[in-house]
Amino acid sequence: MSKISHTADQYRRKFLTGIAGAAAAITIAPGVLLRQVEAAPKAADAAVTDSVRWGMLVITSKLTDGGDKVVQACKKEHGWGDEKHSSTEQQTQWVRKVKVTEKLTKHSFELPVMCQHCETAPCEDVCPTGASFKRADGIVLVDKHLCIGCRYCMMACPYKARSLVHEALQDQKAYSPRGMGTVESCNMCVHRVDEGKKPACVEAEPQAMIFGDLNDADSDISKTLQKFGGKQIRADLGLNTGVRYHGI
Amino acid sequence: MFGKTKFMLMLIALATMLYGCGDVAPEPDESVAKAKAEHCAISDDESEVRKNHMNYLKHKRDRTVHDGIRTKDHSFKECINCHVPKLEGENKLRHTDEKHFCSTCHTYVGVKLDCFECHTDQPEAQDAAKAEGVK
Repeated sequence: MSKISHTADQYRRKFLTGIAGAAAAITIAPGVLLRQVEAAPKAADAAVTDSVRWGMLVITSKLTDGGDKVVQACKKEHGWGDEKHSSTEQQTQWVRKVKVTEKLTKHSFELPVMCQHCETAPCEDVCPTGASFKRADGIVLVDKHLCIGCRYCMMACPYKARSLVHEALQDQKAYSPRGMGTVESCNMCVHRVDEGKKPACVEAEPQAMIFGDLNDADSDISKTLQKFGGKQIRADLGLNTGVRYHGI
Repeated sequence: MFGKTKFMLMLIALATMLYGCGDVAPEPDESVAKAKAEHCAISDDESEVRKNHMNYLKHKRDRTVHDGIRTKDHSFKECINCHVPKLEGENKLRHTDEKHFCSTCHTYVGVKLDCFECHTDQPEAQDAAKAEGVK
């Protein structure tokens, strides 16, 4: 009897390990899902899946300088914003610091605003070529191979998160290709995320920013959001953004 | 008289046109291209690479951008890392230079490529850990 139960235990353990190894949600019967607790970094040759949804939480009160470090880290990582021949208005900007002051109380605070990685992204809706798209794991990107530079997405974005490159560039970062006539925005450091690393801005302000899987109830970001809450900018638009703020 | 002069002129023009026709077009200089490559990230069959590299690259580019698959196989970045020498400052080998790996052939066959409108034409700055992996 004990031998049988031991074998059963071993079998069960093997079965559970197998599920964990698959690092994905597995359907055992229609409507029944077994989900792995902690999302392991995906294998290099595996495609991204919708079992994870990447998100960021910005705790504005913990930012050391209202977001300057975030902007600097992003600039350094992707090399945007120092176009030699573009005017100030034409400069690309993946993330910017915004200061908000309430008219009556004069209470003000600052926050970094970038692509909010909407679940129902307006930029994706309007794109005539399919260049604007949402990856399975929730990261909104521009496929610059398909972008024709029409800037429709720039008009559609309620967060003013996108910009167009106005001049020919040289010596871009190998992991972050950028070129004239294409639109670009925060890509949640997709090259780092795919390697299991955190975005550059999160590494620059680790006490104020949390990056993680919103689908996973046990991830740092989900737990913090559940406990303290996190607002969306323009929540009234119902875009279900992947970037949330605490303290706005 | 007039006809003879015209004939002679035509003959000279024809000779000028034909001059050099016996020569074979010069082969592209591949010394730079072959300098570092032992194993190709696309295929070890050289003719296959020459004929179909654009298809491999195009397929991989979609897998990378849309599915996040960033392996070295068929990777555009790996072409540059392996085949373009790392030089600094003024000496940088630009894609407009005929000696740049891609340009050796692309200039020769007269096919324009616009990968470098967005992608850097320089190899990646490699930290120690990464360089070890490349070896």
